[in-house]
Amino acid sequence: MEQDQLLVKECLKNNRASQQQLYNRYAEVMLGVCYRYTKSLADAEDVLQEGFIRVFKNLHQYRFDGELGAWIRRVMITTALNYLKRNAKYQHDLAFEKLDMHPVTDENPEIKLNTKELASLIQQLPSGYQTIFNLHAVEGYSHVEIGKLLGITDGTSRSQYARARALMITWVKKYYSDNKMQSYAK
Amino acid sequence: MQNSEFEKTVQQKMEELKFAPDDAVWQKVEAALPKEKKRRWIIFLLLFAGLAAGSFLFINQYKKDGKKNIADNNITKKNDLQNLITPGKEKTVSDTVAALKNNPLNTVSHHNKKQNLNSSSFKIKIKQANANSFYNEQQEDVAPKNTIHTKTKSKINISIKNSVPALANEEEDIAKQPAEVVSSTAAINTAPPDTSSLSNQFLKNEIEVPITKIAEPAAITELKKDTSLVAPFNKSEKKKPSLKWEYGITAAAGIATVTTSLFSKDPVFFDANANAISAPPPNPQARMQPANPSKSGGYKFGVYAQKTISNKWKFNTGINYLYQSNNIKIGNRVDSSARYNYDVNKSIAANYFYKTGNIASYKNKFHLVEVPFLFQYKPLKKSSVYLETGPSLAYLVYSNALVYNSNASVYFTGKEVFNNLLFSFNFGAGINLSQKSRLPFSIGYHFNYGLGSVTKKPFGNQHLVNSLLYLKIPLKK
Repeated sequence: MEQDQLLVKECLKNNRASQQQLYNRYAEVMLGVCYRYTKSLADAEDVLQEGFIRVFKNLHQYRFDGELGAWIRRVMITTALNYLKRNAKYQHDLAFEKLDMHPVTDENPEIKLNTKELASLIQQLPSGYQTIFNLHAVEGYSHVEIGKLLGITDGTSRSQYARARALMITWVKKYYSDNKMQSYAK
Repeated sequence: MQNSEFEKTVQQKMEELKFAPDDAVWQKVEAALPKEKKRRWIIFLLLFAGLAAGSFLFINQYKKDGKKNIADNNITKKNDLQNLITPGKEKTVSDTVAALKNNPLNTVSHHNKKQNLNSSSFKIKIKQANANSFYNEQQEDVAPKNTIHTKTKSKINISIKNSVPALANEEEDIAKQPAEVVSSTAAINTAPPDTSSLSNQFLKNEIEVPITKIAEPAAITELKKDTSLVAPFNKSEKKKPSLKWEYGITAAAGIATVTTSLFSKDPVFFDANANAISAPPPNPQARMQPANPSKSGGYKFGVYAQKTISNKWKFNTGINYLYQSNNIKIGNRVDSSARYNYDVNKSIAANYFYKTGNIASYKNKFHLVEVPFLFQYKPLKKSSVYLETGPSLAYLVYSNALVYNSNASVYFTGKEVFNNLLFSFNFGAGINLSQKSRLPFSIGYHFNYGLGSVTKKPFGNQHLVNSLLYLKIPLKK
């Protein structure tokens, strides 16, 4: 924590070495975050780049009252959402119009996929589902918070998540039955 | 649902997700960051120090040249004087006066306030006659230093200001010279002056003072310090700058804008509030990049008071009303109330907001009351041009300026957005015109840069900048 504070203070002085140190410390984890919200590693790197620029320009807003990593993560998520909103290839899925596309399930299957396999499955969800699934299942945002972030009602968020979850469970089960990774994209 | 095993496992596995980014990402991040600050304040400090040192050297050189001229003149005078005062030879005042009169470099004037030389004292003043141009300029300083005073009570004292020691140490301030000058006091034992026999060419009342003995030249170098005669003379003759305040009115007009910093061209609304503010967006899919403000008009008017500190420096203050503005392109106005959270437990309620777009132009207006504290420096004595610099303090009375919320992609405003107390830095130059006419005035240029942001931190970084041409008219001197 103290190390983070020192690092932030140096970064605020626009010390380039410290900025690179901060980048190196968090870049790999944050690229994982960005990867989950986008459809490719190249897009994820674009978000990462934009996100770190935001981090450095808004670092004065970090109040040292929480983990620096958590704060950077929130910036990355905000950046990723903005990226999705303004990027044409994500626009259609973010319209949240296909509410009845997938059936809902309450199953809790065991997940034996490794991290990257699971991330690839999440990545293949439709963008709207992918975003809400990430925000709720991974980041732990409430549906009210998600509604505010995305400009939708919490009910829409809830129903979208239920369908995203159902789709994920279907794919996880199918993965085991096929015992191989396939493209499950619609 | 969130606490189910499925979510827990997903969360756990995603925490471990890592990818090594390409090196190009950091390079792009680095390229977008502001250039590493090379301690700009040091540059400013060095510039200021350089300017101060340059001014000091210039002034010092100016004085030194003057001192050298004085010294040259004094050497001549000393030689002349030594010619007049021959060792071991007794002279009368009339001889000395006659010799001095014959010397083309000097004139002899008689400063006898009382024509009756039977009174207890009289003075003889030798003033340099072949004045060069510098001498003319510095006459007020030089005159007393090139003076021989003769005082008589029961004896005559000739006090000669000798500038040779000053030559040896030219770095000394000329103003201090009288204290370091060895003035010769040639004690002349004499009888009370007899007015009937003193040189009729020089003294109209034909006074002749018998002098029994005059000091030898060698004694001149050992003469006791006698500043009592010179110092008061300097004080009385040196012109002091007027210490009265001068009042007047001022008006200025020009262009104004806002910027993220003096040397940066970063977009003013880029990233502003990216994380601190969240609000329901009016239409998340209709997002556009925020516009950057463009220059617009600015003006100010007010009253000023000015005081002369020295021949070259003046202090200027006053009170002005300052208006400045800038323009941005905006989209449609939406008359719908929204609350914008910008910090923990802090939010702004706005009854309307503007979407991003290029539909209309919006003028961000700032109304301020400003109190400048400026120092004027006049580099050349005979020139009317002056340089001006100093801070000013301003109070933002009202502004309708919009700030940008990147989450909702909207512009909004509120009084909570602004810092009301603002410091700024000014510099400029001007010229005094028609100073001897009935209507003197000054015109000049002022650049003003706000040292602090006019918007509070969560709303971005906007520094007010204006560049104005001004007119000053003194009303009372």
